[in-house]
Amino acid sequence: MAVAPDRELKKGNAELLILALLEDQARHGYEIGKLIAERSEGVLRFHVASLYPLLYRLERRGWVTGEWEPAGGRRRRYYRLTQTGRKILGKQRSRWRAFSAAVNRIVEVRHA
Amino acid sequence: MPDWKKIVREKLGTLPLTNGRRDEVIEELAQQLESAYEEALAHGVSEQQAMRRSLAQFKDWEKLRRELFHSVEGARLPVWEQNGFFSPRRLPVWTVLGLSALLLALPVSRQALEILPVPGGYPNPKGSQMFSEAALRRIEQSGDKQKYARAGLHCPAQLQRGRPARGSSSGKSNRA
Repeated sequence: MAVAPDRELKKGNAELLILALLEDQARHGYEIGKLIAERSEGVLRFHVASLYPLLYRLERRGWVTGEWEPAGGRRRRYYRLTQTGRKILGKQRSRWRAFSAAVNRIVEVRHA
Repeated sequence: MPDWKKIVREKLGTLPLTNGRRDEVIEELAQQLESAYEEALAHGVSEQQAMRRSLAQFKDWEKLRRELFHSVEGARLPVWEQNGFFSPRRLPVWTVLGLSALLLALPVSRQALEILPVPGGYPNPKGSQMFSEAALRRIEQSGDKQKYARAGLHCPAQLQRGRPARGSSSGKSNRA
């Protein structure tokens, strides 16, 4: 059974999750929410009420840009990483790697 | 198919975003609701159930309003915009409060309700009628300072001055 991750842990890494999903291609809000749930196999679920304010915050900071584009007979707002966003993603990713490696060194090792 | 834009517009109320961002936010949130609705229908759920599931994504619209404004504008939603204080559904409440305040502002109403003294309106002939001649005499004879205070007078001399307000002639005749 999947253990629900701590709310604060999820909150602190929400930006990283979104930036990582936008690294390869532009995506719309609904797709981002679905992908987070799918790729984490249901462990991480984003409340859409938090997703959109977060997307707008990232846009205001200049880390992503949102543009309306036609999709399936209607227009959708697609988000893309900016150059600044890409740099931030790099920094956040290496910080996450260092953090998770450090936690793993403590949690995964059983001392005799 | 429900009109998702209309639903979102009503739920968000007067969200004061600049440069037409409000319409864009409404459209985007409406699309989110619509996609979730269509997905639920595709899973064989009834239309009513699908609509309920879709709307359940946004439980607290007031909180969402505040967060959306903060995210887009980088500032807190003004206090008068919070909790829908001035939303159309609160119009009857504001109307009643306004009329009540207006009514209380009229000196006649204040006098009638005896809530607040009208400047310059007290003591008046009506006020002195609250104590009968006999009652005033009893107060005077008792010499009780507390009773003077309750009568709104501070000393027997004032008591004498306050008494003739209604029947000054009878007061004089009594002393005589």
